[in-house]
Amino acid sequence: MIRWLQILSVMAAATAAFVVFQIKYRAEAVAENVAALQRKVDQQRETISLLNAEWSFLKQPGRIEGLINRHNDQMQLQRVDPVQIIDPSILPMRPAPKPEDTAALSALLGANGDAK
Amino acid sequence: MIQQTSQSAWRHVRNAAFGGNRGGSRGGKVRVALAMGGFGLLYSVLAMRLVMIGVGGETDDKSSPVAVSSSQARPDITDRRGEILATDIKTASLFAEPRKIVDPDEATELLTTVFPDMNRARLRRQLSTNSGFVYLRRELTPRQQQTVHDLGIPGIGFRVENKRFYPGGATASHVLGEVNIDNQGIAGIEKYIDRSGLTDLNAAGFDIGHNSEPVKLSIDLRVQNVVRDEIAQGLAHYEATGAVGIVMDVRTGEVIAMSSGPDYDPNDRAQALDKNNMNRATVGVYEMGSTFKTFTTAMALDAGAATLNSSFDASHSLQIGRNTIHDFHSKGRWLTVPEIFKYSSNVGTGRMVLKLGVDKQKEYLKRFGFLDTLRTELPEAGAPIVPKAWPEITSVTVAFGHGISVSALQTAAAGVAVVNGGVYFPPTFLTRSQDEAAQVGRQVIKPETSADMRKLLRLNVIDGSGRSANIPGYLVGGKTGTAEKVENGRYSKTRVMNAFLSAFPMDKPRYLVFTLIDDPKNVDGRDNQSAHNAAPMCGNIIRRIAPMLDVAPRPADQEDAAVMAIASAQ
Repeated sequence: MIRWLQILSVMAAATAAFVVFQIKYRAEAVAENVAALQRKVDQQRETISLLNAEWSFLKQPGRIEGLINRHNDQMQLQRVDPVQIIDPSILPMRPAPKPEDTAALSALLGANGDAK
Repeated sequence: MIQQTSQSAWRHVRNAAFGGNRGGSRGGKVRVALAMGGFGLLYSVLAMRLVMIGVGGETDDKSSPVAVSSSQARPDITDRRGEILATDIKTASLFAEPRKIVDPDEATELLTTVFPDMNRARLRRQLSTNSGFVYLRRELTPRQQQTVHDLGIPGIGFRVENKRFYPGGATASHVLGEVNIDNQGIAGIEKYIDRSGLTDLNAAGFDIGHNSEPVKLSIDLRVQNVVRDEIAQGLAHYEATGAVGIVMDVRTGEVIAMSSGPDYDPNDRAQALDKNNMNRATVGVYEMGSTFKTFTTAMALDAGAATLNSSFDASHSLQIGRNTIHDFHSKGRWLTVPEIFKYSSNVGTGRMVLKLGVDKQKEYLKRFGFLDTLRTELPEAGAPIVPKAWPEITSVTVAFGHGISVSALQTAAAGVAVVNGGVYFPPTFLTRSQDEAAQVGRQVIKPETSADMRKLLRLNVIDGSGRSANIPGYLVGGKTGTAEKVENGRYSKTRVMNAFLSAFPMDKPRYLVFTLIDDPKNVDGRDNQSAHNAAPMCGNIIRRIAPMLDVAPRPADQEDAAVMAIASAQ
């Protein structure tokens, strides 16, 4: 009985050792993978911040103004005059048609209707 | 196979430990049981440990492979709409470990091919020492880094460091301030960020770099660009030594734009050290001249010393002791308060303040914040120069802006209170909602006084010295000021310091615009009065920024009729 127990425990020890090493190597591989991904994330983050910096440099109002001034011969841009900006509600409504116009129109429509 | 070897090993152990093959004896059984129990315990400990590692996830410290940078990471700075004003970019610095360098002469030769401007003798000396670490050059360009890398010199390496980058260059330089080569804030908002805790966290070992929230300023980059542009143009056109432009939100006290010219590009550290590039908006203090009559009139109206209908004798000069106060353009008659304001009468304003009294005047000046240094987020703050004694003559000169020197931002902040219904908001460079503003605001004059002042300011732009700032549709109101500059202890007759304080739209003000120009010359065949430089600069700014700030232009309306009515009322 004891012999069987001995064999069993030795087997258990061997398997345990094997499994432990398996897990250890797997953990190391995972850790390496994590580190690689982390590196990649850091790099990408750096790239993003660099691109952001470049983008904000490219769209600086001062820079765009300079570009416009340089190419305004072709573009013919002008500053907006305050009088050009109005609220839609200020626009006058379409004037009511005059009676003679309505009459003429309906006569015309009526004639057309008959023709059809 | 494993079993066999294990079994034979076990037999050896048993023989050694228990002296021969005595399995089957009673004592032996107990001992074997004991040994088994012992090993069982050991394995269970191992198993538990395994479970602990599996569950707890004891991590390796491999997660930060990037070389630790020595210069601290800083949070980004953005404007109120989220546009980046300052950010960190990574640059490489070149260092050497002289101890590891095999041939200093060869290394020197190779390095000078990449950096021709490097001092050869000094470099050779640096590399020949036995020290462990020395910086050779900081902030390399990517191309330089690549070239040095390709040379493959042993003992030469790179360190990744943060470098501050300002995409706008000089656009908001005086607000943002600057950092030193170790990325520590040494001026402006950059210094404010450090003072409010960033450096402490870094010193304690936290890298708060890319995860930290950006610092959001009240500045609007578009408006800032316009103000800076007009200031730069004004400086050049009027051949002035300095100029300032400030835009503030009158409902919250936020600074929307602030520019001081000449300015500098914070990406180039050397420029910032030039004394001529100082911050004239918050550090420089100036006699504001007639612009100050805005505040004098407001206090006289508020304290009841005058109403819009009262008149004061401006028919001849005002004699106080040995001093005589003259008017620039005397009308030679009694003037109503609107007329005094419109014609910018020193005599009339003087008489008004005499009726108000010195104590009241000082009390109101204190309320408007003119007697104390204005503290904002910016570390740069100039202390006002206030007269020590206040005899009547001082009181009268202060009334029209001579004898007291205050900063441009101080004047703008007080101007906000005059037009917005009488609430003084301490100016801020960080965003502030109207609710937050209500917490810090304090009533300094009555809302009715503020309404009267709006009419006077509007009148002055329709029919007074501020005409060149009258942008149709935006109901601009404002007051000019031309102060004689002090030269060799006397007021100069030719050199002036001009200001223009304005706000729009006057029926319900949203924004205040303040311009100041130091020592403009006579150009375009006109004299150097404020109406010919500070006021048109202000008008140009308003014309360009109003559409950006969603202020809708309106056709001239009844509001102006009411303003004209007070002008004609005698």
